[in-house]
Amino acid sequence: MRPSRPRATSALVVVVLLVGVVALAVSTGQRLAAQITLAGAQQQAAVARQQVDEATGAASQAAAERESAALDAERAEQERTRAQSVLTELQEQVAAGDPAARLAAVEELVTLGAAQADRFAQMNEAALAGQTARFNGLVERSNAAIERTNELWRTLISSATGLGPSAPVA
Amino acid sequence: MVAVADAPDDLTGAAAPPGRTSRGLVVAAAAGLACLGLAVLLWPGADLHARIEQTRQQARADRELLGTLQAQRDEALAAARASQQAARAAREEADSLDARRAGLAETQEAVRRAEAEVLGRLQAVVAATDAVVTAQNEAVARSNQGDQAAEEQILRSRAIPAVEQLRAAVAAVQPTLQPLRADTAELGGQLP
Repeated sequence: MRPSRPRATSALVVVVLLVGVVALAVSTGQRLAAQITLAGAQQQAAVARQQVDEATGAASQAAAERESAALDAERAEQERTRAQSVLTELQEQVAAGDPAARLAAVEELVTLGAAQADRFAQMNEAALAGQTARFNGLVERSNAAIERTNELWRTLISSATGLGPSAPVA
Repeated sequence: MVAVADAPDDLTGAAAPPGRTSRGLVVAAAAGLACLGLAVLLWPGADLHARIEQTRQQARADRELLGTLQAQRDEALAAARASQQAARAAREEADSLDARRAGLAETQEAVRRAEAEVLGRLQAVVAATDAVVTAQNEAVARSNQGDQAAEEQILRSRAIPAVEQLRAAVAAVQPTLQPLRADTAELGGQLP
Protein backbone atom coordinates (compact mmCIF):
# COMPACT_ATOMS: atom_id res chain seq x y z
CA MET A 1 0.00 0.00 0.00
CA ARG A 2 2.92 2.28 0.38
CA PRO A 3 3.35 3.32 -3.32
CA SER A 4 -0.32 4.12 -3.96
CA ARG A 5 -0.20 7.75 -2.86
CA PRO A 6 2.89 8.70 -4.82
CA ARG A 7 1.48 6.96 -7.86
CA ALA A 8 -1.76 8.81 -7.48
CA THR A 9 0.07 12.05 -7.19
CA SER A 10 2.10 11.25 -10.23
CA ALA A 11 -1.00 10.26 -12.13
CA LEU A 12 -2.72 13.45 -11.10
CA VAL A 13 0.24 15.45 -12.26
CA VAL A 14 0.25 13.55 -15.52
CA VAL A 15 -3.44 14.18 -15.96
CA VAL A 16 -2.99 17.86 -15.21
CA LEU A 17 -0.14 18.05 -17.66
CA LEU A 18 -2.03 16.18 -20.37
CA VAL A 19 -5.16 18.20 -19.83
CA GLY A 20 -3.12 21.37 -19.91
CA VAL A 21 -1.35 20.42 -23.10
CA VAL A 22 -4.53 19.31 -24.78
CA ALA A 23 -6.35 22.42 -23.63
CA LEU A 24 -3.51 24.56 -24.87
CA ALA A 25 -3.58 22.81 -28.23
CA VAL A 26 -7.33 23.14 -28.55
CA SER A 27 -7.30 26.75 -27.44
CA THR A 28 -4.49 27.59 -29.81
CA GLY A 29 -6.35 25.90 -32.63
CA GLN A 30 -9.52 27.75 -31.83
CA ARG A 31 -7.73 31.08 -31.70
CA LEU A 32 -5.95 30.39 -34.94
CA ALA A 33 -9.20 29.39 -36.58
CA ALA A 34 -10.92 32.49 -35.26
CA GLN A 35 -8.12 34.74 -36.40
CA ILE A 36 -8.09 33.12 -39.83
CA THR A 37 -11.83 33.66 -39.99
CA LEU A 38 -11.36 37.26 -38.91
CA ALA A 39 -8.65 37.78 -41.46
CA GLY A 40 -10.91 36.36 -44.18
CA ALA A 41 -13.78 38.56 -43.07
CA GLN A 42 -11.51 41.58 -42.98
CA GLN A 43 -10.25 40.80 -46.43
CA GLN A 44 -13.81 40.50 -47.73
CA ALA A 45 -14.74 43.70 -45.93
CA ALA A 46 -11.74 45.44 -47.43
CA VAL A 47 -12.74 44.25 -50.90
CA ALA A 48 -16.30 45.41 -50.31
CA ARG A 49 -15.07 48.76 -49.01
CA GLN A 50 -12.83 49.19 -52.04
CA GLN A 51 -15.75 48.36 -54.32
CA VAL A 52 -17.89 50.85 -52.40
CA ASP A 53 -15.23 53.50 -52.81
CA GLU A 54 -14.99 52.81 -56.52
CA ALA A 55 -18.75 52.74 -56.87
CA THR A 56 -18.99 56.01 -54.95
CA GLY A 57 -16.56 57.59 -57.38
CA ALA A 58 -18.41 56.16 -60.35
CA ALA A 59 -21.75 57.35 -58.98
CA SER A 60 -20.35 60.82 -58.38
CA GLN A 61 -18.91 60.91 -61.88
CA ALA A 62 -22.20 59.72 -63.34
CA ALA A 63 -24.09 62.35 -61.35
CA ALA A 64 -21.74 65.04 -62.65
CA GLU A 65 -22.20 63.69 -66.16
CA ARG A 66 -25.96 63.76 -65.72
CA GLU A 67 -25.86 67.35 -64.52
CA SER A 68 -23.58 68.40 -67.35
CA ALA A 69 -25.78 66.63 -69.90
CA ALA A 70 -28.88 68.26 -68.44
CA LEU A 71 -27.29 71.70 -68.75
CA ASP A 72 -26.22 70.96 -72.29
CA ALA A 73 -29.72 69.77 -73.13
CA GLU A 74 -31.10 72.99 -71.69
CA ARG A 75 -28.73 75.04 -73.85
CA ALA A 76 -29.65 72.98 -76.90
CA GLU A 77 -33.33 73.55 -76.18
CA GLN A 78 -32.69 77.28 -75.95
CA GLU A 79 -30.93 77.13 -79.31
CA ARG A 80 -33.88 75.27 -80.79
CA THR A 81 -36.33 77.76 -79.32
CA ARG A 82 -34.31 80.67 -80.66
CA ALA A 83 -34.11 79.10 -84.13
CA GLN A 84 -37.85 78.43 -84.10
CA SER A 85 -38.55 82.00 -83.00
CA VAL A 86 -36.36 83.50 -85.71
CA LEU A 87 -37.93 81.30 -88.36
CA THR A 88 -41.44 82.08 -87.19
CA GLU A 89 -40.69 85.81 -87.19
CA LEU A 90 -39.39 85.65 -90.75
CA GLN A 91 -42.35 83.53 -91.87
CA GLU A 92 -44.74 86.05 -90.38
CA GLN A 93 -42.87 88.89 -92.06
CA VAL A 94 -42.99 87.14 -95.42
CA ALA A 95 -46.64 86.20 -94.98
CA ALA A 96 -47.49 89.79 -94.06
CA GLY A 97 -45.96 90.91 -97.34
CA ASP A 98 -48.42 88.61 -99.13
CA PRO A 99 -46.16 87.74 -102.06
CA ALA A 100 -48.98 85.98 -103.89
CA ALA A 101 -51.10 89.14 -103.82
CA ARG A 102 -48.14 91.20 -105.01
CA LEU A 103 -47.57 88.80 -107.88
CA ALA A 104 -51.24 89.01 -108.78
CA ALA A 105 -51.01 92.81 -108.78
CA VAL A 106 -47.93 92.70 -110.99
CA GLU A 107 -49.64 90.29 -113.38
CA GLU A 108 -52.66 92.58 -113.54
CA LEU A 109 -50.41 95.57 -114.27
CA VAL A 110 -48.91 93.71 -117.21
CA THR A 111 -52.34 92.76 -118.47
CA LEU A 112 -53.55 96.33 -118.08
CA GLY A 113 -50.51 97.60 -119.97
CA ALA A 114 -51.12 95.24 -122.88
CA ALA A 115 -54.84 96.16 -122.95
CA GLN A 116 -53.95 99.84 -122.86
CA ALA A 117 -51.65 99.42 -125.85
CA ASP A 118 -54.49 97.84 -127.84
CA ARG A 119 -56.91 100.51 -126.64
CA PHE A 120 -54.55 103.36 -127.50
CA ALA A 121 -54.08 101.91 -130.96
CA GLN A 122 -57.86 101.84 -131.38
CA MET A 123 -58.07 105.42 -130.11
CA ASN A 124 -55.51 106.53 -132.68
CA GLU A 125 -57.51 104.78 -135.40
CA ALA A 126 -60.76 106.37 -134.21
CA ALA A 127 -59.20 109.81 -134.05
CA LEU A 128 -57.73 109.48 -137.52
CA ALA A 129 -61.10 108.27 -138.80
CA GLY A 130 -62.94 111.10 -137.08
CA GLN A 131 -65.00 108.66 -134.97
CA THR A 132 -65.46 110.97 -132.03
CA ALA A 133 -68.01 108.87 -130.14
CA ARG A 134 -65.89 105.76 -130.40
CA PHE A 135 -62.86 107.76 -129.38
CA ASN A 136 -64.61 109.15 -126.32
CA GLY A 137 -65.82 105.71 -125.26
CA LEU A 138 -62.28 104.39 -125.49
CA VAL A 139 -61.05 107.35 -123.45
CA GLU A 140 -63.42 106.47 -120.65
CA ARG A 141 -62.22 102.89 -120.56
CA SER A 142 -58.63 104.08 -120.79
CA ASN A 143 -59.09 106.44 -117.86
CA ALA A 144 -60.61 103.63 -115.80
CA ALA A 145 -57.66 101.41 -116.66
CA ILE A 146 -55.20 104.13 -115.70
CA GLU A 147 -57.00 104.62 -112.41
CA ARG A 148 -56.79 100.90 -111.72
CA THR A 149 -53.13 100.95 -112.67
CA ASN A 150 -52.41 103.75 -110.22
CA GLU A 151 -54.31 101.89 -107.51
CA LEU A 152 -52.23 98.77 -108.10
CA TRP A 153 -49.03 100.78 -107.97
CA ARG A 154 -50.05 102.40 -104.73
CA THR A 155 -50.77 98.97 -103.26
CA LEU A 156 -47.43 97.64 -104.37
CA ILE A 157 -45.53 100.63 -103.05
CA SER A 158 -47.32 100.73 -99.70
CA SER A 159 -46.58 97.06 -99.05
CA ALA A 160 -43.16 97.12 -100.67
CA THR A 161 -40.41 95.32 -98.83
CA GLY A 162 -37.74 97.80 -99.78
CA LEU A 163 -36.63 96.85 -103.23
CA GLY A 164 -39.52 98.10 -105.33
CA PRO A 165 -39.77 101.50 -106.96
CA SER A 166 -39.91 104.41 -104.57
CA ALA A 167 -43.02 106.12 -105.94
CA PRO A 168 -45.88 105.51 -108.35
CA VAL A 169 -45.14 106.90 -111.77
CA ALA A 170 -48.51 106.75 -113.45
CA MET B 1 4.48 7.15 5.51
CA VAL B 2 6.30 7.29 2.19
CA ALA B 3 8.28 10.37 1.32
CA VAL B 4 7.59 12.14 -1.85
CA ALA B 5 11.18 11.80 -2.64
CA ASP B 6 10.72 8.06 -2.93
CA ALA B 7 8.10 8.27 -5.71
CA PRO B 8 9.04 7.03 -9.19
CA ASP B 9 10.41 9.60 -11.60
CA ASP B 10 7.61 10.93 -13.86
CA LEU B 11 6.13 8.46 -16.22
CA THR B 12 9.08 6.18 -16.42
CA GLY B 13 8.43 4.65 -13.10
CA ALA B 14 12.10 4.36 -12.68
CA ALA B 15 13.58 5.14 -9.43
CA ALA B 16 14.73 8.66 -9.15
CA PRO B 17 17.01 10.27 -6.81
CA PRO B 18 15.31 11.91 -3.90
CA GLY B 19 14.67 15.60 -4.48
CA ARG B 20 14.89 15.32 -8.24
CA THR B 21 11.69 13.34 -8.42
CA SER B 22 9.76 15.82 -6.41
CA ARG B 23 11.05 18.70 -8.49
CA GLY B 24 10.03 16.90 -11.68
CA LEU B 25 6.53 16.45 -10.41
CA VAL B 26 6.31 20.06 -9.40
CA VAL B 27 7.62 21.20 -12.74
CA ALA B 28 5.25 18.91 -14.57
CA ALA B 29 2.35 20.09 -12.48
CA ALA B 30 3.37 23.69 -13.00
CA ALA B 31 3.73 23.12 -16.71
CA GLY B 32 0.34 21.51 -16.82
CA LEU B 33 -1.20 24.37 -14.91
CA ALA B 34 0.65 26.86 -17.07
CA CYS B 35 -0.68 25.13 -20.13
CA LEU B 36 -4.17 25.32 -18.73
CA GLY B 37 -3.75 28.98 -17.93
CA LEU B 38 -2.32 29.70 -21.31
CA ALA B 39 -5.15 27.77 -22.89
CA VAL B 40 -7.62 29.89 -21.02
CA LEU B 41 -5.83 33.04 -22.11
CA LEU B 42 -5.62 31.94 -25.72
CA TRP B 43 -9.21 30.77 -25.95
CA PRO B 44 -10.90 33.08 -28.41
CA GLY B 45 -13.19 35.25 -26.44
CA ALA B 46 -16.40 37.01 -27.18
CA ASP B 47 -14.56 40.09 -28.32
CA LEU B 48 -12.87 38.20 -31.15
CA HIS B 49 -16.16 36.69 -32.26
CA ALA B 50 -17.72 40.11 -31.99
CA ARG B 51 -15.01 41.55 -34.21
CA ILE B 52 -15.59 38.78 -36.73
CA GLU B 53 -19.30 39.42 -36.70
CA GLN B 54 -18.82 43.17 -36.86
CA THR B 55 -16.46 42.79 -39.79
CA ARG B 56 -18.94 40.55 -41.57
CA GLN B 57 -21.75 42.99 -40.91
CA GLN B 58 -19.63 45.81 -42.24
CA ALA B 59 -18.92 43.79 -45.39
CA ARG B 60 -22.63 43.03 -45.78
CA ALA B 61 -23.52 46.68 -45.31
CA ASP B 62 -20.90 47.67 -47.85
CA ARG B 63 -22.22 45.15 -50.34
CA GLU B 64 -25.74 46.53 -49.89
CA LEU B 65 -24.39 50.06 -50.27
CA LEU B 66 -22.52 48.90 -53.35
CA GLY B 67 -25.80 47.80 -54.91
CA THR B 68 -27.39 51.11 -54.08
CA LEU B 69 -24.47 53.05 -55.49
CA GLN B 70 -24.45 50.99 -58.67
CA ALA B 71 -28.17 51.59 -59.07
CA GLN B 72 -27.62 55.32 -58.56
CA ARG B 73 -24.79 55.28 -61.09
CA ASP B 74 -26.92 53.39 -63.63
CA GLU B 75 -29.80 55.78 -63.08
CA ALA B 76 -27.54 58.81 -63.47
CA LEU B 77 -25.94 57.41 -66.61
CA ALA B 78 -29.34 56.64 -68.09
CA ALA B 79 -30.50 60.18 -67.33
CA ALA B 80 -27.29 61.57 -68.82
CA ARG B 81 -27.80 59.51 -71.98
CA ALA B 82 -31.39 60.69 -72.24
CA SER B 83 -30.28 64.31 -71.82
CA GLN B 84 -27.56 63.86 -74.41
CA GLN B 85 -30.06 62.42 -76.86
CA ALA B 86 -32.45 65.27 -76.17
CA ALA B 87 -29.64 67.79 -76.70
CA ARG B 88 -28.66 66.10 -79.95
CA ALA B 89 -32.23 66.10 -81.18
CA ALA B 90 -32.73 69.75 -80.17
CA ARG B 91 -29.54 70.82 -81.95
CA GLU B 92 -30.47 68.87 -85.06
CA GLU B 93 -33.85 70.55 -85.05
CA ALA B 94 -32.23 73.95 -84.44
CA ASP B 95 -29.91 73.34 -87.39
CA SER B 96 -32.86 72.32 -89.52
CA LEU B 97 -34.79 75.43 -88.47
CA ASP B 98 -31.78 77.63 -89.20
CA ALA B 99 -31.45 76.01 -92.62
CA ARG B 100 -35.15 76.63 -93.29
CA ARG B 101 -34.79 80.25 -92.17
CA ALA B 102 -31.75 80.72 -94.40
CA GLY B 103 -33.59 79.13 -97.32
CA LEU B 104 -36.63 81.29 -96.72
CA ALA B 105 -34.53 84.45 -96.49
CA GLU B 106 -32.74 83.49 -99.69
CA THR B 107 -36.01 82.88 -101.51
CA GLN B 108 -37.46 86.10 -100.12
CA GLU B 109 -34.46 87.96 -101.47
CA ALA B 110 -34.88 86.25 -104.83
CA VAL B 111 -38.51 87.33 -104.93
CA ARG B 112 -37.50 90.88 -104.08
CA ARG B 113 -34.94 90.95 -106.87
CA ALA B 114 -37.34 89.41 -109.38
CA GLU B 115 -40.10 91.79 -108.38
CA ALA B 116 -37.78 94.77 -108.61
CA GLU B 117 -36.84 93.65 -112.12
CA VAL B 118 -40.50 93.37 -113.13
CA LEU B 119 -41.48 96.67 -111.55
CA GLY B 120 -38.57 98.39 -113.24
CA ARG B 121 -39.84 97.18 -116.61
CA LEU B 122 -43.36 98.17 -115.65
CA GLN B 123 -42.14 101.69 -115.00
CA ALA B 124 -41.12 101.77 -118.65
CA VAL B 125 -44.68 100.70 -119.49
CA VAL B 126 -46.02 103.57 -117.43
CA ALA B 127 -43.67 106.00 -119.10
CA ALA B 128 -44.73 104.76 -122.53
CA THR B 129 -48.36 105.07 -121.47
CA ASP B 130 -47.73 108.67 -120.42
CA ALA B 131 -46.14 109.38 -123.77
CA VAL B 132 -49.18 108.02 -125.61
CA VAL B 133 -51.63 109.92 -123.42
CA THR B 134 -49.66 113.15 -123.80
CA ALA B 135 -49.54 112.84 -127.57
CA GLN B 136 -53.21 111.99 -127.80
CA ASN B 137 -54.15 114.90 -125.52
CA GLU B 138 -52.19 117.27 -127.72
CA ALA B 139 -53.85 115.83 -130.83
CA VAL B 140 -57.27 116.27 -129.25
CA ALA B 141 -56.41 119.85 -128.32
CA ARG B 142 -55.42 120.61 -131.90
CA SER B 143 -58.59 118.95 -133.09
CA ASN B 144 -60.65 121.10 -130.74
CA GLN B 145 -58.90 124.13 -132.25
CA GLY B 146 -60.04 122.92 -135.65
CA ASP B 147 -56.52 122.09 -136.78
CA GLN B 148 -57.17 118.64 -138.18
CA ALA B 149 -53.87 118.52 -140.02
CA ALA B 150 -51.88 119.11 -136.85
CA GLU B 151 -53.97 116.53 -135.07
CA GLU B 152 -53.23 113.92 -137.71
CA GLN B 153 -49.60 114.88 -137.76
CA ILE B 154 -49.30 114.44 -134.00
CA LEU B 155 -51.17 111.16 -134.09
CA ARG B 156 -49.00 109.73 -136.84
CA SER B 157 -45.68 111.12 -135.69
CA ARG B 158 -45.99 110.72 -131.92
CA ALA B 159 -49.07 108.82 -130.74
CA ILE B 160 -48.77 105.81 -133.03
CA PRO B 161 -44.99 105.34 -132.39
CA ALA B 162 -45.67 105.78 -128.68
CA VAL B 163 -48.17 102.94 -128.81
CA GLU B 164 -45.54 100.75 -130.47
CA GLN B 165 -43.12 101.70 -127.72
CA LEU B 166 -45.78 100.78 -125.20
CA ARG B 167 -46.23 97.37 -126.84
CA ALA B 168 -42.48 96.84 -126.75
CA ALA B 169 -42.35 97.87 -123.10
CA VAL B 170 -45.14 95.41 -122.26
CA ALA B 171 -43.38 92.67 -124.21
CA ALA B 172 -40.15 93.41 -122.33
CA VAL B 173 -41.91 92.70 -119.06
CA GLN B 174 -42.89 89.15 -120.04
CA PRO B 175 -39.44 87.50 -119.65
CA THR B 176 -39.14 88.86 -116.13
CA LEU B 177 -42.50 87.49 -115.03
CA GLN B 178 -41.58 83.81 -115.08
CA PRO B 179 -38.76 84.09 -112.49
CA LEU B 180 -41.06 86.09 -110.25
CA ARG B 181 -43.78 83.46 -110.58
CA ALA B 182 -41.34 80.64 -109.81
CA ASP B 183 -39.73 82.41 -106.85
CA THR B 184 -43.11 83.45 -105.45
CA ALA B 185 -44.37 79.88 -105.70
CA GLU B 186 -41.24 78.64 -103.94
CA LEU B 187 -41.65 81.27 -101.25
CA GLY B 188 -45.25 80.22 -100.70
CA GLY B 189 -44.12 76.62 -100.37
CA GLN B 190 -41.76 77.60 -97.58
CA LEU B 191 -44.48 79.18 -95.49
CA PRO B 192 -46.42 77.10 -92.94
